[in-house]
Amino acid sequence: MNKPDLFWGELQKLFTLVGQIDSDGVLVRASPLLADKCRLDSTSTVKFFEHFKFKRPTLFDGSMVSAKEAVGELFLGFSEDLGFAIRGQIIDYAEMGLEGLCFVGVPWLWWIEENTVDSALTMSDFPAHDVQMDQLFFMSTQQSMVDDLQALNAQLKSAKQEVDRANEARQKYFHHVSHEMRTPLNGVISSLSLMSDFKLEGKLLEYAELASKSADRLLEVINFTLDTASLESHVSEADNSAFCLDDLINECLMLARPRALEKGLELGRSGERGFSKNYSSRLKLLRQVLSNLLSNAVKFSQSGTITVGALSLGSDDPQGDMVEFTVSDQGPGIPADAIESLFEPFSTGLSAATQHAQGTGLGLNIVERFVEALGGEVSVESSVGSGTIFSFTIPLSFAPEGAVLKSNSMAIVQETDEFSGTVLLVDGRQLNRQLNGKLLESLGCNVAIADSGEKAVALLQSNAKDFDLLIMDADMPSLSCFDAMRHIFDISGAANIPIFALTPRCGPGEQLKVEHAGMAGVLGEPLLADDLRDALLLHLPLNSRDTEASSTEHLVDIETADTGAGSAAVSDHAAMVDKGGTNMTENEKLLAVGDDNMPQDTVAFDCKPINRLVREVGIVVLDSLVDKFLGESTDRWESLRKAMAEQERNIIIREAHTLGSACLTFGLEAAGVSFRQIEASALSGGVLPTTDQLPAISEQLGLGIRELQQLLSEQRLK
Amino acid sequence: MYGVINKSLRDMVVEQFGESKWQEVLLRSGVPDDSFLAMQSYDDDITYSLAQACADEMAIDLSDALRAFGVHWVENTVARQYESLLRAAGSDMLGFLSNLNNLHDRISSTFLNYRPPNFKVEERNENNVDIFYVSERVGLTPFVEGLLHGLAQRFNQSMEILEIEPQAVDAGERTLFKVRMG
Repeated sequence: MNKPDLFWGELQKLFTLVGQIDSDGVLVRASPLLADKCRLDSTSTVKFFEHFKFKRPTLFDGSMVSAKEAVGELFLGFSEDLGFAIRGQIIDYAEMGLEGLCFVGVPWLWWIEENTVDSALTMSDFPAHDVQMDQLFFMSTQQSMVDDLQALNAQLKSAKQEVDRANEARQKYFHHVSHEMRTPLNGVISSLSLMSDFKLEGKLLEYAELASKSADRLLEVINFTLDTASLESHVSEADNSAFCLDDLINECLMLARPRALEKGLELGRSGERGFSKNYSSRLKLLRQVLSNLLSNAVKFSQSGTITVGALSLGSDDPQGDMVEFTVSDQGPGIPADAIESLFEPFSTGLSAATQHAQGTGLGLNIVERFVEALGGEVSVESSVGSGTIFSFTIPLSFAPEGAVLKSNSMAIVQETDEFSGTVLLVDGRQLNRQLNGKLLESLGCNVAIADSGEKAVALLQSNAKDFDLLIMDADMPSLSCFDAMRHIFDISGAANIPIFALTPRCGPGEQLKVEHAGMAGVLGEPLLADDLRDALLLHLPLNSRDTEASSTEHLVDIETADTGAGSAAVSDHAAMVDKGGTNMTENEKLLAVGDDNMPQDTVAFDCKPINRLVREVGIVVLDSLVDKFLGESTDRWESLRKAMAEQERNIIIREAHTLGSACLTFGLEAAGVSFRQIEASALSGGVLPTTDQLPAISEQLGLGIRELQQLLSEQRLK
Repeated sequence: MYGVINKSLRDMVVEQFGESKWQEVLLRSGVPDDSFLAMQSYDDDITYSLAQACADEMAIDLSDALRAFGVHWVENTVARQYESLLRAAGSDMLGFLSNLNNLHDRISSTFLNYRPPNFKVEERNENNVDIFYVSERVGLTPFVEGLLHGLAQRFNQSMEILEIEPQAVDAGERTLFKVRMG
């Protein structure tokens, strides 16, 4: 056996495809598999490099010269006619002193798998060192893994969608139930508030106070549930507003001030003032965090100063700042062992020194959740007897140039300034709509009117973005203010519109009730321009206007009331019995009304409201409004009388509410208070008032109207 | 064992008895979830628990369940996922079994935790063959019995297992299958 033969035998042990190629490129000898696939026999001549098309080497041109140049490179060749492909290398026989080349390799498995139906190849066609079978298995399993992962991904996606749906349904359910719970609870709180207007004594007073505190706490728990739910809802994600940080802090301080004053606490600012840029963030969350911390500080402190401040720490982000907020007090402090669980729900961190101040322990949990949602973490430092400092640092983006600021409550307002924005006034009482509409216009607002909660909801549904603020009568007969609120919260784009309740009951209970309902606050009836201006300051931007411009210019376009001829009918009432003076506001008087009929200091007619209205809307408009009121009063009086006779509670409430509101608007104080008393009595759910009261009210009304008309005559002359 | 085994077991139950039955099997087995990835290695106990739960749920012997699984493995799982390899490994049952060690060797070079069984084929005479099965694992002889039946069907050959003879071994399992090929 010569050398090439020995070499030939060794090659065939290592490769299943071996072919000897002479200097003309003819395959002169081949291993069995290659000979079979190339159909090589003694009669045929196979030009090896023409028999296959070579995909590799790239520069190989099929010539022997080119093949020699590619020795050592990978050869990938295929023949569609043969349904076969080869994969291997060229060996140059010249190294062994011979002529020609030798191909050594294996079937090109991937090409064959891809292009033939049945290759009839077996594992023995692939030597052990060849990795193609390994690759085939690996690829098969990889595909299987990809299929598995895709199936798992689909399962996870489906499961996530199911969880999201369930979560959404749960949130809706929570939201709905919480609202459903809140509505009757507000009724309880409101009734308890009304009860406090009566002279309760002894155990009755004790029980009423206990019921009131319990109801407040329950409301706080319900609101916690709603706040938590709102945090998880997608809606709150979009709650980014531009604001002035100084104004926000001042606004929070202003809100805390009344309770702080009651307790003799001082409120102040620390840290930086006069931030040069406005910020943009989830303002509602930030405001509530600061308010909760301030409220807690006030609640638990018995003396000392409470400060709130903010400090810009700068940031790597050119679009914003890191801002550190602190709220500190000099209260009794929190025991070290209570701090760890301080932010857990229902944890109050109460010590012997603070047990007097009860809380639900939910406020700080909300603080923690909201601060986290704002991108920060709240921390607390406290030492018993020295006070407590809550702090958190959050990123705040700079507000875009010219962005409308949401919070500018502390802007110094001039009477010559006017507001811009559209206010939707929702009131079933035409007189109130007209009067308050004019008031709003006199302050520069555009005014839209809805005479019922249903119409307000419909207006908002059609285009919520047209409105910047809502003022709603709290006692609308059909869809109540609070029911309307629930609908409004569900309207896209309307949930963030500030809403004020217009109500004669401005006590703490009512304030709490509307705030917990998610409203911006309470406006007392009759609506005073100063109160309205203060409310608008919080929510609408100010524009300076020419001082020469008169508010009455805004009124001329307002639909004027018809001048009904009913005044005589009302003015026929007998004279008023009590002409005592008073320094109390109308609302304070309402709250002071007891169960022993008329307070001693109530007068039949108070000229101040009329003088104010003359200034605010002018005598012409006022005349028409008074005429309209007097025209309607006869029918309403009769309706009230009939309802009292037939003990129709809802009608009594409605008519007394409307008459009381109108009387107080025009200074008919004694009659107004009497109507309010009837309304309160009917609202309380107890024994309904009877027509026995009406003659006395008729006298009050008659006397008041005569004085009103007298004053109007004088004003006309002026 | 690799997840492909557990997946195959699940597929068998689902295909024959429905998803709810599989969920009952899963619950009975105590295996927390059935999100198996084909080539991820799982504890052998998971496979054993599932197989035992299948048998209990169907009220049959474990060996019967494993036999059925062996047939299913060849006819469905391997045929669906590794058809190319199956074809490359042989054109008849004995050829396939002879190449199987070779195939397992190649797989072992890629999957380092792979602990495949070993098969040895000895032809006693024209029709009678001894097939030796050796595994590190214990209790899978019925599965191999089903696998042999599945292969015979796959290659369209008649085969009768004349005797199954457990053989002494220090660890794992060694079984001699005496078969007659048609």
